[in-house]
Amino acid sequence: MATELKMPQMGYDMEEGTVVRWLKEEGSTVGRNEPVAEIETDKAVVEFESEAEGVLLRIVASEGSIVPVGETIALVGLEGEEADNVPSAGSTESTDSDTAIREELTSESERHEVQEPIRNTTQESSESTPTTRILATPVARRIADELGIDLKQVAGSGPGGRITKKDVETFDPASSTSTKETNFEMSSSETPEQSPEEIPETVSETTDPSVNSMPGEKEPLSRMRQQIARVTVKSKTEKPHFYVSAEIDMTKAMVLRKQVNDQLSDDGVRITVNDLIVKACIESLKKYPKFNAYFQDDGIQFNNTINIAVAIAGEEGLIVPAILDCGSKTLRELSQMVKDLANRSASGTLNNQEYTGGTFAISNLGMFDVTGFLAIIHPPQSAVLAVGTVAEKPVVRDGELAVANIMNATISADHRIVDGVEGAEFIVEVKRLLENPMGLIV
Amino acid sequence: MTEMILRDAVAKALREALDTDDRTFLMGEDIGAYGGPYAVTRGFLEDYGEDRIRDTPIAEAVFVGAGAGAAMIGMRPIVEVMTINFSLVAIDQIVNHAAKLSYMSDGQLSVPLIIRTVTGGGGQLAATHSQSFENWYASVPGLRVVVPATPQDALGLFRTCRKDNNPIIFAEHSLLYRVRGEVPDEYYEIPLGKARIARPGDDVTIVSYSGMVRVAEEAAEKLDELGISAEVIDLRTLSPLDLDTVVESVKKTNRAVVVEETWKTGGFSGTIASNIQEVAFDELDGPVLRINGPDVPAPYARNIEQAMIPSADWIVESVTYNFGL
Repeated sequence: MATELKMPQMGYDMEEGTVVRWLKEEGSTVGRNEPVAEIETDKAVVEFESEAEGVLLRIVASEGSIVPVGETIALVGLEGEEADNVPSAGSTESTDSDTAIREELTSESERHEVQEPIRNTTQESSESTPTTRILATPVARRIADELGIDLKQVAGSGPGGRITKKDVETFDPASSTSTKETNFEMSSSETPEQSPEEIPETVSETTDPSVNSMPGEKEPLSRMRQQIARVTVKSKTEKPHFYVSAEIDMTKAMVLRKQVNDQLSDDGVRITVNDLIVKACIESLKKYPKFNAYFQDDGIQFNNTINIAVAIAGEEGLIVPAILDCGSKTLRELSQMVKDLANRSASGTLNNQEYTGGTFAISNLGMFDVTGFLAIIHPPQSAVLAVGTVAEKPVVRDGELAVANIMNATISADHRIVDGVEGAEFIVEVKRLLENPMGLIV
Repeated sequence: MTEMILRDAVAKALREALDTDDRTFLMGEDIGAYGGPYAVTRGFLEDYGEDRIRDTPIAEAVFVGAGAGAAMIGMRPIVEVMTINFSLVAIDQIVNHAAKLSYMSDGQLSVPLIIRTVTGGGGQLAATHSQSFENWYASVPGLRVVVPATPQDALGLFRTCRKDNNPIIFAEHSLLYRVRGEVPDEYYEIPLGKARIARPGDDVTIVSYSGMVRVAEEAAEKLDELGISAEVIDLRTLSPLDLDTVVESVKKTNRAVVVEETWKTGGFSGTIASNIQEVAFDELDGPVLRINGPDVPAPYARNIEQAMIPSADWIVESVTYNFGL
């Protein structure tokens, strides 16, 4: 019985993906977890792996086609199924000789089994269509794509609410955004620990009518930009963020890091400050697992593995892939994993799980001379640690002025899961670990 | 320019053929002594004589086959099949012989045969005499199918047909014979496979041919009163087919309606519609609409017959409803 390979959900708000390229042809053998296609999401191109072993019987979604999540893009099955399957799906007529071959290859009942999934697929897709698809004409879709307009925001004036070319052309993003902002303000005013200084930026930009400035050039939104916009708005509207900051004395950590790197330089090991932070977060998350959990309406969903997501600035924008199941990794292993993640993110060969599997995130702007910043939580995660640069600062030790390497760190957390005290406990634990770095190495 | 009715434009084209090419002769039922069932060849027998204006028995397979045979050996015959309904009697000669001989003889033979015939309904001639089969013939490789809608096109297209070495179905709509139009006095030809923009417009493209062009133009006028600017395309020939003009128009208007008199199932409008969406999918601002007669034999009663032939109101309603205009 053939297995249907379906468009995977890569990212919690992904609705559809584009089949960029098939790496296997129809009829070729595929192994379990072997990459068979490249799928483009809003974020990047990722390799799509076959969940079944066998022969690629049929490519349902051709290259370039956009397929809703959950719909079949290919069929994998046994060698014998091939001759049976292709004609049944590809054309409605079959010659007598075809039929004869089919009779030889499979019995009547087997053939039904093979053909069944194809029919089901069609039914499934037609049933699911009305609920997930936006009604829009082809030309409206094309123009929306060109102008970077999210069709979800556009009201359709055509029959059945279908979005037409005119609807897209006359769409005013400003009016739509201001509606959203009203909602945002309402929801955030109910939130006790909002960060008011963050709101005015978006409001003033789009709704200040007193400024009659000449508009400059308009740059269309890339898919990734749209995605970032969607995710951050969703996060800041749905997740009541609160923030707890701490100054972390990295003096010992910097010394230790230098010693380790000097000793192990021949092995090609180079521990970074970020590696130490990753390790400190992992240990803190073990102690405070709520920061590694997802908020759901019916409860707090704890995660059994710790997958540390690392914000990486790419050419087109931000991605937050994760190093997976790193709860029991040594500092040295973690260092290697993070390096590998960065390399593969640059070459676009991250897998789906890495893109979506993060349970906690670290955003590090330490390479810039910034004191600190507040990060937006990456849904469905519940917390993110934002760290600034490590800089020499005067500190008071035992009543004496001294010079120390100070780093500011701020945890952003979802108030629905944890409260301020827990946020403080978490950041203090990170601080304790980093200020006593031997514990991270041993 | 001279104003004339389409019947006279066809007669003029036939006389030119007879006058300028002595390989040309006419053959068909009642075209001689009677002057033609639709009076196209009135006076021809007197002017050209029995050798060149040949009345035939009621045996379409015979005289169409004879026409094909004459064309094979170097004549330029013009055969009249009284109506396209009767061409079914000769369909084997048309499809299996005339259309195939050039291919099957590796080009050694050609069949420069023009089959003039009358198509369309609307004249209360009932189920067996009111049909349109030019879509059937358009599906046969090796045949050309010419479907003029104006006197000017009838003359200009016929002149081109005379120079073509392929068998041609030249279908004249019975209700168009009395349609008036300007015809240039100087000599002109109209190429096969070049559609005509009968009326320019911006909001919707109405593709039509033969008798439906007038209906489309009437619909365009009514749409204009509603503030909707319709572009009407007259295909002129179904084979060869000028898809480029259609697609260019749809790229401009983003909407397309294909209007055809015959039944919807298997109608040529399906070929046009599928081509449009294949080539210009991303240009479409709505479904490609097909307006065809319903899949029923033509009724005799006038009111029911009129109800099944695509009308201007039908087009207007389809456009406003389906495109939300």
